[in-house]
Amino acid sequence: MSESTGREKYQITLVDAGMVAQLTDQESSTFIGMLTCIGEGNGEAAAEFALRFSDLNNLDEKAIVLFKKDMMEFFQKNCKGYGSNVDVGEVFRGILGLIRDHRVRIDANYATLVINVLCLEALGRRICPSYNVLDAAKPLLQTYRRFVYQDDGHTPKSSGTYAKRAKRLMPIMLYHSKKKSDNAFFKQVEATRRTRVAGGGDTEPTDAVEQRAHPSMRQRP
Amino acid sequence: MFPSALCDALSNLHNDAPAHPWDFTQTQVESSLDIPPGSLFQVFKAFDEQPLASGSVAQVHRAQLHSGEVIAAKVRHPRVSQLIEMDFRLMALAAAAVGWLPAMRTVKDSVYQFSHAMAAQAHLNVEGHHLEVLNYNFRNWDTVRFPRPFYASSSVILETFEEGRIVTGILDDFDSLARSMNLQGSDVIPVEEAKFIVTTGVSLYLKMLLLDNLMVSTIFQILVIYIFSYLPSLAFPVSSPLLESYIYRHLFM
Repeated sequence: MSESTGREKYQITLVDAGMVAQLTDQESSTFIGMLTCIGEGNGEAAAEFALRFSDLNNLDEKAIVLFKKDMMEFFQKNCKGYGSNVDVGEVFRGILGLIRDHRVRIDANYATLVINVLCLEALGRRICPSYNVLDAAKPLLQTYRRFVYQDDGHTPKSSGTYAKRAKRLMPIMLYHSKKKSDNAFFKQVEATRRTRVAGGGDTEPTDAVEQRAHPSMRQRP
Repeated sequence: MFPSALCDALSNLHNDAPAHPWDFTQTQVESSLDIPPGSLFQVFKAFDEQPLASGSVAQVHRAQLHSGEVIAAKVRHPRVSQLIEMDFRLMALAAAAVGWLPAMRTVKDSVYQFSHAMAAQAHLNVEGHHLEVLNYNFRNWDTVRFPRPFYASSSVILETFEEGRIVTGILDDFDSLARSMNLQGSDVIPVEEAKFIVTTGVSLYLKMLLLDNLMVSTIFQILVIYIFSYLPSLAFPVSSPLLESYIYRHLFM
């Protein structure tokens, strides 16, 4: 891996923009709402947001109650919120399963957003199994939720120009705090790896993280 | 939901999508640029006859200008827009037919919703526009790049050639290195690189979702990893095939 001649040592290039999803404000805030519900392990609210994934959803009262009940049960088992090492990929796969079982509709743009989360999570897992994508996104998600929803977490705020401007200015601070926590995390990873190498254990995997990652890695041809 | 076998099959599908003949590329580029037939090499110093990659909508050639600058030329396959249009007529027809059954009514709405995205994909100038917007949105990000288009018509895009390696390729290399030591790929990838790819990936996604409302749709795991290309070596644009969209719809709606 040689260094680039440019300013940065590494760069990511996205070469294909053939298909993009142009989100409306409503779509993006609904999805932010869904992500924060996953972050808080709140199955009932997540069910509310899932029902907003398409305007064409017209489930009757009874069906909605059943859907919420299943979502709450699923969250209780698989999604306990920030800091509990939530597997976002697994959670979204579960939600999609419930969405399908209960015939809840989901628009193409939301499907795109979900798939991208799944891809991102899979990439993260492959590169660094102990890095939790959801926890990394926490400071940004929480702040943005405060911008788009009222205190109850799901009633949309009518966003004036002031809020919009603040929304644009926020990221500088937020990315800074994300960077700080990322730095701390990877310092830890580096330290762990160093102790392992120093212990002479570089021929046998001993770490629990590695054992967990093992089966999925094996599947790859 | 995404069995690895399916992803592998689709990744093959990407690489093996049939390329169209060189003659077609030449005439297409000449007619798009409105230059006389046969004058391609007066405009370009070099133009590779073999495409770097071929997707189901277009293929990509490497070319060089007389100034020495290397560029990527993405050329749409013959009859793609007609084929997509016909596919959608058929799908709409089928959807209208099943629409008589109350339970199948949703199919009809989905087809219309999706046709917009697909039609846009068939016209490369739409992609050119998206690239401009993405370049603008990420103008202050030193670590994230998009190709810069400098010419786009419905059938041809000329854009900067991006050096790099596909991220899956890099990870595969680390995996095979690790295997020889009885370790995991994630153990041997340098921490600095792992950090860069993962944290930039997350930031990128959040920016597109929270700020820009413009999300690059990357339909499968393989594809998203494909498009994260990376210095040094070689990256190429891969177009998202129609088939994937069908499968995507099938899985989610």
